[in-house]
Amino acid sequence: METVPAKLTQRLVMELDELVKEGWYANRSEAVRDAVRELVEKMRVELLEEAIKKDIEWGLYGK
Amino acid sequence: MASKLTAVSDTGPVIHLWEVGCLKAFKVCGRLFVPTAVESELGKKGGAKRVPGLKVVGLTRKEKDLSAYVSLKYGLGMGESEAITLCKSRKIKMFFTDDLGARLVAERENIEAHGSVGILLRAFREGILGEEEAIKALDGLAGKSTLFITYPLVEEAIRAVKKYSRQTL
Repeated sequence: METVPAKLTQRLVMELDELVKEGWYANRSEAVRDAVRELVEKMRVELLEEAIKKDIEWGLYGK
Repeated sequence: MASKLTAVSDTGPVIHLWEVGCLKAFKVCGRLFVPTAVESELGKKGGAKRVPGLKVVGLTRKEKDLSAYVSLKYGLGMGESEAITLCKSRKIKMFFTDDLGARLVAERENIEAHGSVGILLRAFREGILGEEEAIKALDGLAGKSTLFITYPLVEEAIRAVKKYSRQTL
């Protein structure tokens, strides 16, 4: 796994720790991983759109 | 137009183009390879034999180790990681996949990646598919294939085909 340095506000860290304390996640890493996974899933259509645009360009005009 | 394109494909485009009855779109390639992991995955869907000119390549021991590493590092399936490894080790610059994750990994490794939509449009441009045939296949990708794609994106591709036709008249 790769370490991704990211700065979070104190409030966000506090809320994150609360989720861990309440037993939703085993630790901060697991919670952040889950959040990022959900974000990527949410952005899937946007990523797909980008990929299809590249396909159109390559298919019709690319070398 | 004779094509000199050399590419490696994973399972996705083969299945999706088969589902829309357009495997001949792979004729855009002069040489098309799939690794054995992809051949195994395709076995369930009638096999790699359906694809014109497709050649199955076995990975060397060293390549298999690298593929396992790629799979573990990026969380990819064996088909995708073997295909990317094949591109890397045999210096093949083109990779066909419909998997977004595999596509991003390939681009990170400086391998150009395109999916079923790109292959269909390329086949249309090269005269392998007619305009109507290409549009029908694109429409089928959203309507009857297992590919994850939205109708607005398919419509964008269809508009691009029609625009290209008008430009080249």
